[in-house]
Amino acid sequence: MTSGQEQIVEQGVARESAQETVVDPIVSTRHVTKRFGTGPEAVVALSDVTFDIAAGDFVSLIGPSGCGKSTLLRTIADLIEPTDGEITVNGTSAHDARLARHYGMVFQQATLFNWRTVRRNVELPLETMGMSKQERGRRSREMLELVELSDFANKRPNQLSGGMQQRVSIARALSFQPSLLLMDEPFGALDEITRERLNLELLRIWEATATTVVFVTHSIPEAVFLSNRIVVMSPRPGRILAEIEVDLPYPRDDDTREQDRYFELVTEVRETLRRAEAG
Amino acid sequence: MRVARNATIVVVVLVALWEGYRAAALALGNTWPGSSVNLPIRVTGSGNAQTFPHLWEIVTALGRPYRGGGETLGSFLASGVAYTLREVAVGFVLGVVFGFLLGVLFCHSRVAEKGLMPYVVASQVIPFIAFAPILVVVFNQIDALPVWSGVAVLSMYLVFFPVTLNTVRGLRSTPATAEELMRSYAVSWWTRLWKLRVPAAVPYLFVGMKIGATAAVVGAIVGEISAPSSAGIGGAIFAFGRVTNNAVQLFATTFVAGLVGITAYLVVVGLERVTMRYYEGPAGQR
Amino acid sequence: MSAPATAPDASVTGPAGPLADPRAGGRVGSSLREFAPPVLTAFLVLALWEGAVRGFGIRPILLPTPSSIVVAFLGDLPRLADAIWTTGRAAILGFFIGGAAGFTAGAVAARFTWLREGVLPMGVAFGAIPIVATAPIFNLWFSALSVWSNASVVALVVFFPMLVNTITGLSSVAPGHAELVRSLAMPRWSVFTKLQVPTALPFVFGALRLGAALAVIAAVVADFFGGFRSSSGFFIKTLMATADYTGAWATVLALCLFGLTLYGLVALAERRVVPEQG
Repeated sequence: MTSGQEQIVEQGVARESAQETVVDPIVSTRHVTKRFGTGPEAVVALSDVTFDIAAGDFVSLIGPSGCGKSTLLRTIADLIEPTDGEITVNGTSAHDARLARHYGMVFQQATLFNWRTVRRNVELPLETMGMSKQERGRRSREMLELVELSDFANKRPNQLSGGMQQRVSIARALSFQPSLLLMDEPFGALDEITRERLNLELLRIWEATATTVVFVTHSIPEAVFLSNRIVVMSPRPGRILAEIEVDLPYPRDDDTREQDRYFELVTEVRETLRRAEAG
Repeated sequence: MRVARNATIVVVVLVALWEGYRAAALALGNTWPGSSVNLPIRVTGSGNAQTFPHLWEIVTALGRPYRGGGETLGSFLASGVAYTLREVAVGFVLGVVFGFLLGVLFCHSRVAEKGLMPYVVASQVIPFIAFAPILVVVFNQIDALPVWSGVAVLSMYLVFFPVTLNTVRGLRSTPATAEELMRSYAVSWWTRLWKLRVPAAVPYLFVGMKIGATAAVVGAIVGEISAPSSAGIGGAIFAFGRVTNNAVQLFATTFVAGLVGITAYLVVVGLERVTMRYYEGPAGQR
Repeated sequence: MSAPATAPDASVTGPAGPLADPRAGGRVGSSLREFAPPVLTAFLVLALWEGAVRGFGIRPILLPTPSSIVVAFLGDLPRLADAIWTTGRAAILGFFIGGAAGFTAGAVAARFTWLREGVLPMGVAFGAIPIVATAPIFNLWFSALSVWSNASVVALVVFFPMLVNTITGLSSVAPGHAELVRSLAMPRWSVFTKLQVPTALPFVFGALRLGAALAVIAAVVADFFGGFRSSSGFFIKTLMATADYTGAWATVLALCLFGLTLYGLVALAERRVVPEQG
């Protein structure tokens, strides 16, 4: 078996174990609340959010605009502090996890540095960690191969399309092999066709690297296609409406989008959201 | 207002630095502590000839006579300021008008722009100020024009470039949809210029004018130095600079020159505020 | 400040001037097509000039012919070179001192929000003062025969646009980038060198280009106030006084060449350091 396939098997084992709640969750939120502002005009973005993410999961956070899914992701990333509640990442607080660089993050805008080449963009986290030049070169080459952009290593970001820039962004996020990958609507700014292609890419990368992924999106088909679990959130104030298991088998491909079970799950998510709007 | 508070803080800090240096230099005997190497700026002299007077002495010097008996420095400088301001005003107005017209030309004619713009840029890079003595003498030769016209031309030259550049940028800043609207009405270029482009350019024009105001003052002062006479505030600085024993009055004169510069700038800023208020209505005020 | 949405940011194109605008691109076009119109215009103007002076019999005190200026220029080359050196070394010295001081002060001010809010408007306001008027004061302090008196004026003139543009540039980091470096737990100094400084470079070079132009101007003006007899500014005044008009124009020509060279060098450096950002 290749190392990638070994990792898939390990993942599978971890997933089964998680379902038996033997292994500790990699991310755990308890009663997380986030209020912006004070007094009667305060906006409650998140309200008493509690859920777990097991190692090896691909979890999507989905909900209407303003439901707080991006805010939730940012509290996990320690980019925003929760007003209440607790977040544990890899056994430590979210703050310590950020300082120890336990996660890589991909944003909706690629946020590459225009003055650096693609390769040096990927090496950015590695520079921060003080890695030697050779080691950095080796890893960035590996990552660029993984996202299939090796030919563009010495180009500048403005010479790449939006989809390619996001792939570089993913390469950068994974360059230091974190156990957790946080993604905030990474394909939201791209057209439908590119997005579907990148979905497949992302699954391939996920299976090759055995990272846990937390994926924020507002596209129901995308969430069902990618994840093994979907966390559905209500409109503001954001609460968890439901956690839906997606039992479609991996590896998934374009045919998966045409299976009956796929449509059933898409409908299930949609109805959950609709009920929340009505209720 | 926060700006006023920050301004006062900076002024206080600067005053403290000045007086602090003065006190320290005197206490140390004008040498670096623990050695006999001289400080770069030495505090010496007394009375009018001090090289580093107290700040209040500089200001009070304006109230004292600048020659043995006779009018005070302040009133002497006042007439100098008036002389300079006349040059500044004429140069500024000419520069703004010329700059605006040139900007309109560049906006409408790509040929003119491509051919002349490099020179416009280069005109600011070369030290035109080196022409000042030549300009002043040349205009002196033309009897029809007043004696200060050379200086006004110098000011105008320094003013027109920022105005031109900002005019072009402003005239072109109209959103594409507004342009399309105008075209659908089939208006002439003249109407389009005055109904759409110029109003859009006004904020940019003020940016150019603020730069121009400062430049006009610098041009006027430098022009005066190059002139044979010692008229105006620039001429006064030059005259006081040549004599060695009235440093305090030199400081006071330079201070007044600084005020002239700031005043010109503030006048344009005030004009901008009034215009923008009219432009946007009370709702759009800062 | 709720200025109209289309208005430019005055702190960048404000008193520092349009030359300091990083978007203005002081880059000289490199293609032949861009060179042709200006060069043709130059020839046209020179030809008209020569023709008009000769044709209308204009006295040299008003306007010498281009040919006589060039003759005077070539004939007096050693003295001109000396004059340029005297003026130029003050300009270059002041340029580097003012630039370095402006950048350092700007970097420090950008670090602390309260400091930045106080310093930025002051930097903009001080740009409104005719700093060259302080030349005699520096002559008093540093003695008129020292290069430091002129260099100080130049340094002050270069300092303020540099301060304003450095602060603006360092503060113009995109919010997305700021979030990114937080997520990577990048230490403060790294954020400064790897993110803020590259972001600020276009602004800094805008100020440097402007500073190059201002430095020569300020040095010449400082010359006007007295000092070395061989300095360019003083030279021009003397020549005018002794009715050597072609000589004065030739000196001006030499100064223009110097100014263009200095500006060109900065623009070249900018090309190498600040990559095109599309």
